[in-house]
Amino acid sequence: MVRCTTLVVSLFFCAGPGLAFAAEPGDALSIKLPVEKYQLKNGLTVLLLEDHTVPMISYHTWYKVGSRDEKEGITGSAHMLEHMMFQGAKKYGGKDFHRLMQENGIEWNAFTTYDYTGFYMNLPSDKIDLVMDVEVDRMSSLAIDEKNLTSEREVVKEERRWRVDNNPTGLLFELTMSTVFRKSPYHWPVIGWMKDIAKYDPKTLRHFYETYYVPNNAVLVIAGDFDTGKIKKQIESVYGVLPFREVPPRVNAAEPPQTVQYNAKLRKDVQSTSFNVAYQGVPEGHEDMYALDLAATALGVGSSSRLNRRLVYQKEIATGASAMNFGMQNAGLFGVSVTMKPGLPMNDALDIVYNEVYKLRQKPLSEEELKKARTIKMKSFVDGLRTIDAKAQALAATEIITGSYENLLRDLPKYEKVTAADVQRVANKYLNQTQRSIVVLEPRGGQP
Amino acid sequence: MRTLLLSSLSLSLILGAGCASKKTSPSAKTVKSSSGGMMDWFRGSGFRVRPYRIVTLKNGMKVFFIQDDSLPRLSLQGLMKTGLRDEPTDLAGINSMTAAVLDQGTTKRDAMKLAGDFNALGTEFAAGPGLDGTFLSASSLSTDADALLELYAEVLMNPAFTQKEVDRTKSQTVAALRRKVDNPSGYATDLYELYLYGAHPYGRDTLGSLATVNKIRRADVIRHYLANYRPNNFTLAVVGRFDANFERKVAAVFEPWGGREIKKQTADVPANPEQLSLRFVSKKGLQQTQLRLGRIGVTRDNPDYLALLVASEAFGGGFSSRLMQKVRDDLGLTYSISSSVDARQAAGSFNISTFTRNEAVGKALDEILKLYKEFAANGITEEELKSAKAQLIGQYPRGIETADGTATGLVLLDFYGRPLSDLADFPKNVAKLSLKDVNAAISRHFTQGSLKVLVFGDEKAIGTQLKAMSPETIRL
Repeated sequence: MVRCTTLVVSLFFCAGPGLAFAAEPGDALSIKLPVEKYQLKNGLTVLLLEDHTVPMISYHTWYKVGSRDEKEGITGSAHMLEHMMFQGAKKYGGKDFHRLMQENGIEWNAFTTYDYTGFYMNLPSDKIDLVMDVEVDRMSSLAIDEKNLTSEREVVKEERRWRVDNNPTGLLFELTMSTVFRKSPYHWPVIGWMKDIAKYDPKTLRHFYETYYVPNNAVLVIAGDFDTGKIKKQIESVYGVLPFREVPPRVNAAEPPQTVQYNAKLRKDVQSTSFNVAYQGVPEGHEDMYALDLAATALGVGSSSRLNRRLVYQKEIATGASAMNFGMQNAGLFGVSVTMKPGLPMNDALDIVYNEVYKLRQKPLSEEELKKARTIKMKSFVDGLRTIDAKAQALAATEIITGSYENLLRDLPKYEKVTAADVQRVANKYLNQTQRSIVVLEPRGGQP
Repeated sequence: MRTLLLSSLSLSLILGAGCASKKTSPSAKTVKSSSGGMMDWFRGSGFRVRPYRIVTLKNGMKVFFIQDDSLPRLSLQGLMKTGLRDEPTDLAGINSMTAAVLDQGTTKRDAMKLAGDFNALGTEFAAGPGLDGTFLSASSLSTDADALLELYAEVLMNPAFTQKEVDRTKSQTVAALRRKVDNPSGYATDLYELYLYGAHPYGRDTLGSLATVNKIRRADVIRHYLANYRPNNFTLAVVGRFDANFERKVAAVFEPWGGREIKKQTADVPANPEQLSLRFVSKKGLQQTQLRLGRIGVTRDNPDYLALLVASEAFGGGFSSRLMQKVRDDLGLTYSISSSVDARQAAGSFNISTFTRNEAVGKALDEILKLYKEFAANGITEEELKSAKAQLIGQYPRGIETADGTATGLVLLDFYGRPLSDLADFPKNVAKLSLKDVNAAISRHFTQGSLKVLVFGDEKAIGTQLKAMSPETIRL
């Protein structure tokens, strides 16, 4: 299927007195994103965004596989496989790969999430042939040998220590996810438990690779300085030869609704107490996501947010207080994070968090607060489209998570439609006492 | 938080070498677009440094105007040319505190009103105090440009500095200083800077110390502001979707701001040690050990700056660098290792940064030191030179892809007294470096004196691995 869409979004929900000087409010805030989307016969989804701002191309190959496709005992496999993708394939060996990228002026890296794994390259536009050849090579003929795995396993252990075991913030997030999600695969960390990392074997990773690294399970996003007609022919020629292979359906255990408060605590050598108050939210793109996003923004985004105002500014008991609504493909997390000043107990702060969440349930946001929350969301959206690499990332993520990149811009009007009553409704639906988890990181000797 | 001005910006690479040349600024100058040396490298692409216009106000404030209509956005990026190095030693942290209190109330609005008004535009006033200067920025949708300009100018020109807000900021700063140890990576870098620079201001934390912060009074903050936060010590870049009328508004808003003579402080940078020296800071319970190695390096205007950038790119700049290939890929001793050249107004530093498991500290250090000795003694190879240059030139357009990136590059070149044409000439200047040039620079800067090594880990877990290096041990 070939579909060509030029999306022009007008950020009209900002329209109002502030736009009076603009002849056409819609025009004043318009963004053009001319994307062409199509699919090869083998199922590879392609998104092309021609943009000649700089003589560079951002080349993203994302696969629909993440830590939620694992099971206990092999946690972190998707991430480990991401590492092995840089260890060489049939045509380009591991050291050759790095050398080639460097000497051709290409930046390259990758990341793994709960739902997907992304590989990206930022290249001078005349290096497109090389990059396409390299990506097809490792999509089709990755080498996974014991020797490379032995060394890379140690690298990943160090990554885990750096991100989690030796990092209080990482520890608290990991414990929060494993507390809120008990049955679903969002329970375990993307990087995996250390005991599992230590026992990865080539066979397991090979199975992961052969199952998920197929064209029909990938989204290719190319943004930047190229000719659309020419690159389409090239994509067909290079990727079109790869075979379609059936991918098993992603069947994950659903997280049952939470009916009692969960509590978890961690004691480490830290100077101050930090805690998260977390709730099961909704998946990315869910109809309630927009109201929950605005609830989180009013509660804890920005220095004038409700929590920052009370905990950091008025009471002066915390060094930071924030809130977020984090959507994944099959679930979501609504969370409040507070870091106390060293030496202070968390009880008063926790009461204030409870009180502010209670107020969200009891009283609608003022129109001024609602407008501010929408503007923060919109400004964040615009800031996220400043480079070709950022545009490619946004397109790839939206395509994978929601099934259509067009939702990237369709989201904006949905925030405009959210009313104060909607925010109050979702607060009452998702942010109740029996639905929350209290996860605490405190100094080893306990709180004062 | 300690922030190294420029160090996190890819654009720092563009600030090339050569003798500083301060030119008298015209009151208004328009540069339509600048291709310079880029044309040799991106021939036929039409790629240019965006056009910009420079206006110098009567009070000495320089303004860059850079238009970009691609998104409905406007940003105000300011650089106050005062940083940590301009602070009195006994008031270390005064610049950071002044920057932090700026948006905590003005003569018209209190702190929360101001915060709410910035947030209503979808933004925050961001203050980034660094070693040499202080970034002060905010951005909004272009439809809110007038409101943003009003708020931004109000914060810069009419801060209230009330006793209440100074006290509140001091309390937050003390808490932040006490919590630093909870971030092993950042804390290790702080410890390393202190070890490398000793009593020189660059050795201090940008926030100051518990002792000095507690001594800072409201009058000190006001004095620091009046002496340094002046228009003739400030450069502003106006970037994004705006028109000529908005340019006039910017000039009109800032014209009343009064200038004054700015006094700069100087301090001697310590020499590199004759022998390798190691400081071991031990903290119980650390699950991993942080390693920092380095030496005093060059100033921004050193003629070898670009050659050293190329050298560092080959040694520890990316996945195919010597450090990464050996220490990570071959030996599996770390997840990340890199080298960097951090050039500043006074002598900057050459740094190697990594971390490893506690039981492998000795081996990791041995391997890094072996690689360093080889690098310092024999330089890099022709193949490495070619590859490093390709990477720096190949990624160069991304640094100025956005109008904000271009603005940052121009403002910083101006700050360091470099010709603004360096922004366009970066690819040409890198390309013309020969192997002889780069290895001669390595020889000039790495053969005299040795490294300082900072290890931050758990003494009990590391055991005797460092014994042969006779470390100076500090226990937290």
